[in-house]
Amino acid sequence: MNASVWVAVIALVVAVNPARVAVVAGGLGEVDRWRSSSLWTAAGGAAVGGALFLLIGAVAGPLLDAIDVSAPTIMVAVGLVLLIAGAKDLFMGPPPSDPALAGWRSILVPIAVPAVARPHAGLLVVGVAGAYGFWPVLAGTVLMVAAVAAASTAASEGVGSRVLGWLGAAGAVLTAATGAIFAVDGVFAV
Amino acid sequence: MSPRRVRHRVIAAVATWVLLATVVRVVVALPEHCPAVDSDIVYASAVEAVGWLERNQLDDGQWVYRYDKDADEIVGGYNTVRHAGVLMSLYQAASFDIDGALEVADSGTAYALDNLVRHDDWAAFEPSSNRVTTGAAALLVAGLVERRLLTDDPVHDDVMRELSRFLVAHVEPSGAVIESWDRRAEEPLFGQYSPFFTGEVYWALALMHLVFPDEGWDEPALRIGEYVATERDDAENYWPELPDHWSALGMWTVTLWPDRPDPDRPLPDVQVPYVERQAGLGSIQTRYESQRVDDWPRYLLRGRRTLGAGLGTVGEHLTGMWQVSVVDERLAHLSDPIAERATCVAGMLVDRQIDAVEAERYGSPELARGAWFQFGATQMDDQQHALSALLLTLPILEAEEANQ
Repeated sequence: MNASVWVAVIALVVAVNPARVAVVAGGLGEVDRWRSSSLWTAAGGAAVGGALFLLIGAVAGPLLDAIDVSAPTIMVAVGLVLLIAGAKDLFMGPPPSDPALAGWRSILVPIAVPAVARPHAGLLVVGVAGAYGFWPVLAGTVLMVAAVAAASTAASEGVGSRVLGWLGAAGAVLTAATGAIFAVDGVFAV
Repeated sequence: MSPRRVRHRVIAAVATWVLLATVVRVVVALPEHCPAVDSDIVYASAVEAVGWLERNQLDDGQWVYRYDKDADEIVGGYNTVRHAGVLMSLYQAASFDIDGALEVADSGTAYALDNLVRHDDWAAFEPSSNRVTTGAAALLVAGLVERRLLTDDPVHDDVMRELSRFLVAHVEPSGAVIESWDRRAEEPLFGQYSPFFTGEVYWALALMHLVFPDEGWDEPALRIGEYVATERDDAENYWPELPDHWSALGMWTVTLWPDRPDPDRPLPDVQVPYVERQAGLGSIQTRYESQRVDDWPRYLLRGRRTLGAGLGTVGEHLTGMWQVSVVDERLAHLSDPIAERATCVAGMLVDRQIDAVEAERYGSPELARGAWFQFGATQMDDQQHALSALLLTLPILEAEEANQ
């Protein structure tokens, strides 16, 4: 693969789209947040979703070998899916905050699922682990959790809401852009 | 909040994961079939291909051109360029010590030398057509050089020079190669180029410099090589870039020239990024072909399996570039992945070849055994390209086996 490993790390962050996760966390009622805090709820959910990514990343290589799929081929698939996912994120809002589990369990639903553990991000983890190894998955996951936590400090109303909207759109565009890079790179990889 | 609604939300999320995984697996990330092979298996397959060419050579040195196994019928037609290609591959087989290959190739050469066109100080190979191609002459030169390197026999040296002068007469100052000479008009067919002949001429002239290093064949060869790497696709309107197995063999040959200035970097600079791009093209072709299965519904997604000739050219392409990558340090990073793809091609070729047992199911087993078929038909060039690809994969496999 010719694309820089840093593109893969960034792709993991933008595929989750931290601003959209922050919007979901911000939409929870105070009683539905862990420690009554958007920051803790969002970061906790990102950590749970990230743990799932790490688990997937750890088994991705043997999985691809078992199903006879090469790294370039899975990256072509990743690229196409990210292109579609980025376009969808650009034109559709984040998932609703409701229904949600109450209290600290809201980190599981709706933050970890469905806001963080998004299927295209899971596929991306498989591709990145297959093409670049586990460490970019780990780096991307850590950055993703940090980015979700940072985004959730923005208020979900007023100016903060508009900033999250713009950041979410930027994340969608970057998701599509990294998808294009991966698709082309996968096609022409040796 | 209703637990039921939350449960539905989780189920919907899981369903989305399953749906995406299914669509990706079924449509894009199909399994790649690369049958495992070793050098003995590949060599045996090459022997079978030579056997087909030996059994199906006619008295005058030509070969059965096309055979339809479903109709059990030899189909007419012939192709001069492919005749030269077949004898070239047979000389390659002879250089790998395959019994009988040299004699069969020599019979094909005798036919070619009986059908030369001579004009001014050059000769070309064309029995009947007014379109006298550079491709046929180039592959005849390539075959005769292979023979010269194998036997050290100078008997064809003069005709090799005559043929090569024909080739040089069709190389333009830019390095573009005119496709053919018009016998009636007695002049080159200016403005007509071939996707194949340019690389064939490049390879032939590079080989000529290898055996006759003091005769100046290197200059036009290098000119063509630079043109191919930098201008051809734009000038001749190829998009995407043309995968060129003949040029890969040409570049490999250039790396063998003893007079290259830097033995660790023998390839001209402009060809380094060209090889990197070409390696990508050969690799995607391999991955795509390895996903092809003729059964329904897979062929709806990937199409039917390619010709033996088509798969063979992919193997020639990759193996030529592998040879370059193991010699030129700037391309060393490509060596292992190219070797993996080339080995996959060899595995597919072995897997798809009709063996002796399968051949007995057909009306004329001698025309089926050792051949590659598509839509029930095989042509002599299916055996030619597959044979060359198999032979040129042997050094890769032997290197891997030596390291184990």
